[in-house]
Amino acid sequence: MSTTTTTTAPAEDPPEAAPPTELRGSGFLVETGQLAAFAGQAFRALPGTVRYTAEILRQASAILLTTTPLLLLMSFFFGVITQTTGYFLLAPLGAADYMGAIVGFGTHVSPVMMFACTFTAKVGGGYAAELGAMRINQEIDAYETTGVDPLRYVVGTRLLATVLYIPIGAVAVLLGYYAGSYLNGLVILEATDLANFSRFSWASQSPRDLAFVFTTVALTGLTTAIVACHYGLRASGGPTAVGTAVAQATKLNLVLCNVIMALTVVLWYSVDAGVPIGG
Amino acid sequence: MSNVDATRPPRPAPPRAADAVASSTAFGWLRTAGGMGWLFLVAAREALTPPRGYWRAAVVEMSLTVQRCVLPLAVVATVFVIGFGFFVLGGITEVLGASDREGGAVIVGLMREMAIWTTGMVFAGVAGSAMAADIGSRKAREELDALDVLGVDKIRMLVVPKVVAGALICPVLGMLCVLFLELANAVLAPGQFGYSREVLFASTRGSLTALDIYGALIRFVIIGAMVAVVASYKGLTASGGTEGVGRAVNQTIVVSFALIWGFDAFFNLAYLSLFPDAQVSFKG
Repeated sequence: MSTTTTTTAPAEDPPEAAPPTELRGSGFLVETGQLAAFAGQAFRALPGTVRYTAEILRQASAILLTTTPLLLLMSFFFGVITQTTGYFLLAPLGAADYMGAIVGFGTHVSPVMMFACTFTAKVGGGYAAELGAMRINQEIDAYETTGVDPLRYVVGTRLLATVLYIPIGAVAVLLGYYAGSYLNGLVILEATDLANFSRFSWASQSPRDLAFVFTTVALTGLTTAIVACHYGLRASGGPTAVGTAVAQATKLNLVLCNVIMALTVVLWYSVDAGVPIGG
Repeated sequence: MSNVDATRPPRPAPPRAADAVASSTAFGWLRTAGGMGWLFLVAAREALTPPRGYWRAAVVEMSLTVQRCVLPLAVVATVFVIGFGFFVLGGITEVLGASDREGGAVIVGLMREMAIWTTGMVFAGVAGSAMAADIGSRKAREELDALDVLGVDKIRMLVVPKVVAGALICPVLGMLCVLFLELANAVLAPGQFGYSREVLFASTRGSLTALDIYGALIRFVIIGAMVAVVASYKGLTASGGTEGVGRAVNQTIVVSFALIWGFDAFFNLAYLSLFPDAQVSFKG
């Protein structure tokens, strides 16, 4: 009989949550509202999360061990790509000596984009899958019943682990990107020599660019984590539930990441392109 | 001597190096890669040999893919060109005093790189994950075992339409992505950089080469087939119920992203080295 009491309690919610009239296209607004409400609740629960330090560190170490190699590899590829593109634009102009500058211009795009994609796919999808599985296996309900707030223990610890991981991830993408650029520019394409390459590469970067990278990485990482947790916790239904949750979270995250990156680019580089040429 | 050996109890086999190799992570990756390659070969053979009864399913799959991908693709492409095409490439050309060539720089950049990434990522993240969820949930519901019992070839029935649809629809989505990117650029760039739209179109026409378009189309076909094969393989090998399906979808996206970027990096290096004609571009 105790099961019936637990099932009747949540049953009061759906009539309230359902919109009174089904307007065409209102699904998007409802979805946005639910997501915003969830984000607010998650942030409000964060101060209570700090007591679960061990769980936070465990989550962070899981991300660190599984995601960092992937981040390094992906941004290595991106370094190769930017150097290829730059070389075949500059070499016909006879300006292959300036290959190092491509590295600096690339930091406006590459590391943040690589971080956003990889983090969305690997960590965001992973959160959605884990939380969805916990929801389906009624572990979330078990936490609620035993008096542990899942917003603190499940969502909050993951958000704080993401915050801990963000600087490491930013450094990892930058390192992988530099390694790929070096390998392709100097070893494969042999565009110029090391002294020239590093001179232009460091001259075309500034602390402002690094601040851009860290800010964008932090914004995309946090948004991705919140959206993934939201869809994971909302999973319901049969065998497709968790798969659908992961797919939905990834779809929305891809769009959101691009929107956030474009916004920060506009904020940082619309007035001053940050190119150290001319005045 | 042989009698002595026969009476002895059999000794436990010493630990073999082969077992250690077979249980290692790297071998697991190798086996996954081999499985994907095998699945691709089987799917290609089934697609090319008659009977070709998969067209209806492939068309349905293509229509579903377009419906799923168009809106995310439009948003991603537009935002991408505003952020990166505009303020990064355009900013550089403006500082160089050549902002009338922004159109050319953007079309070359997006034909060679940006359209490939954005389309590939949206295709893998939206369509690939949906394919993996579809096949994986059939596996979790034991529909695949039922197909085996009925004697229906599950690769021909489920995988071949998805691979064919992926290979055929990804170039279409890619060209749509180019269209969105170019549209956003044509609407917004003249006002930002202060030149007329004719200058933009002249620069675009001057810089766009047929080779770049062919290269992009080939890459879209390969990426589409690759993502579909990865999604089908991960769906077919999903285990552990509904959690397994979630894990399969997640791994599909990760593996597809890594494959797209790795393939793109080395394709472009080879393509631009082998076809020097494509290098003379970026005209005013």
